[in-house]
Amino acid sequence: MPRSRNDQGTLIGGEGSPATSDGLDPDPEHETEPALEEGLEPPPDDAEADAGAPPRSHRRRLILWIGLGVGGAALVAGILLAAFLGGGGPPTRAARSPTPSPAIVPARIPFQFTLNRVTTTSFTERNAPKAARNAAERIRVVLSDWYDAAFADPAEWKDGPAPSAWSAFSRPVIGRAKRDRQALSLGRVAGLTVLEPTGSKLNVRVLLDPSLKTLGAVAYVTFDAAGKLTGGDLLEVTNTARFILRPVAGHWVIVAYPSARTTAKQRPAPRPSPLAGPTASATA
Amino acid sequence: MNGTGGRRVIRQARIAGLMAAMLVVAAAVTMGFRPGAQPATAGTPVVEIHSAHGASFVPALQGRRPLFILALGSDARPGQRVDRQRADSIHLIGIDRSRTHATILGFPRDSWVHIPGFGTSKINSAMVDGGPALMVKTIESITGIRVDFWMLTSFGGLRRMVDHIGGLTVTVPYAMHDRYSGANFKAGPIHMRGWQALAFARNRHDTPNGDFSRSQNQGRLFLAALAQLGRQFPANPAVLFTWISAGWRNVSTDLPPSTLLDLALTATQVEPGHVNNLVVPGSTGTAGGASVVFVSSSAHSVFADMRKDGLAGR
Repeated sequence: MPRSRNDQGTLIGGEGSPATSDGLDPDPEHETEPALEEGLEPPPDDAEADAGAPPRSHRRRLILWIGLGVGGAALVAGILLAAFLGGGGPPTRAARSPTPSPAIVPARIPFQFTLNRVTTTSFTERNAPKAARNAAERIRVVLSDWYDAAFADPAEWKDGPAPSAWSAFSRPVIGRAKRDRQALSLGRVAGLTVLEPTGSKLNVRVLLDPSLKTLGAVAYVTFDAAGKLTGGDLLEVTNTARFILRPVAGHWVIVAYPSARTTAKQRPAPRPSPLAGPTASATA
Repeated sequence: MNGTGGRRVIRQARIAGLMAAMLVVAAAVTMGFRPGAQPATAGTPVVEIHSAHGASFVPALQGRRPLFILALGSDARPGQRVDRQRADSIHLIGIDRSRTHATILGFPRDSWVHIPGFGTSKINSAMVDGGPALMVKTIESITGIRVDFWMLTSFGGLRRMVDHIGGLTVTVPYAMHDRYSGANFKAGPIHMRGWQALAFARNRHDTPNGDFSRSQNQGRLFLAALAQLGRQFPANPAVLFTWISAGWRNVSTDLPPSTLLDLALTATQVEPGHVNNLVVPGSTGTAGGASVVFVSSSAHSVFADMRKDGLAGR
């Protein structure tokens, strides 16, 4: 065995290498394994000094070196573990003012509504459920596109809904809707890495005029999503809205929103129980 | 040799002990006593990144001038043509340019006025002579106001409309016990069914000022409807469709369905407190042996006021 390897082993295990002292090394195992291996070899100075020592003294020294190696490795592991856990206190500072990491590309999970319920109100006693259903389906597409742009698209988390997304609103309403973007969309959330829709509801009531043409509709929307922030915390997003839509030049557009509300709540990430999770089962 | 070896062992043992102590301290500091290292619990505060952001926006009809609608109630009995009987309820509704304020101006049915093409007569006879179109012409000639749309209902129409929307909560201004109309109410808010609303609108015997009071009470029905729509609409906007449907089935009008929807949306933006309920001032008398109302000269300033911006009496 080359002596130089013994030297390195002593430094790592006994004196505290730069990697352990400042805790910058993210992989404590990388240091632990060589230390244990190389601790089996006597250091060059001692090896020279004890060249003529009896075998019993050799064993003691060996035991001591093993002890020092294990202790040092444990110290390294402890410090690294502390540094790692330091980022997850409740509620974490990093999560309170999340800073987007340039390395993290937010995930894009597209969103589509499914129609829950379609009902009609007619000017007269006659009804046209098929026409109402067709209108509701087109409204579903319009609102799906809007919610996809206003909540699911990661670009929205930084810059707001894309300019083309506002075409969901009628021309006279766009200006006002942009001013109400905090109620109508998610708005800017720094550090959001992913947003997954967890539940949504879309009920549509269609108004049929005397000739049974679709004149307008009210859409009742609820949208729930769960997100993750860079610090590990969770984001709960809820939006409820009532939209009035009308067909304008062959396209259904939002002409009014009698009520719209968005809330985004940050919750600390749940900590795994000490008796559960991969670490615990690996230990067991 | 043994002594040296023993001292070395002792020294190394001390070093090992020191290391162990350091390890314990490090572990204690990093794991046990670091502030804020406790695991998250259910009581951990939730941070609202966006507090609840709510918004509401319903645009009103656009326009560069005030909007005027003539609302008529026919006294047609069953089997009679609604638009060729006398108009017992005549109200000109003016909505200002911003569509947030309005005036309801009632005309006593016995108002003695000039009817274009038919000379001077009671105003309610204009409908017998020329239907709602002549009523519009007559009002325009009296007031100098251009009427945009008219709406006409009947006794049954009013009753059915009120029932269709689930009744109407009306603030009765004084106790009424009138056997002719069937109005029998204590003063104060009362949730009326259709027949009660009709009785309230028809009562002119048990009122402080006869037909003037009746006309004002009819205006109160409009206000009650406006208030009720305003209460129901934000939580359930589809209620607007129910109201439109109720109106269309029981009202004749020259309003296209699309404009009716526009108007209904506009109505949701008008606060009842921003609506003035007036009756054209006049005095009772007789003409040609009939009891009539002579429109007061002061009415002209009311008409001029309303013509300007849709509002009067403020």
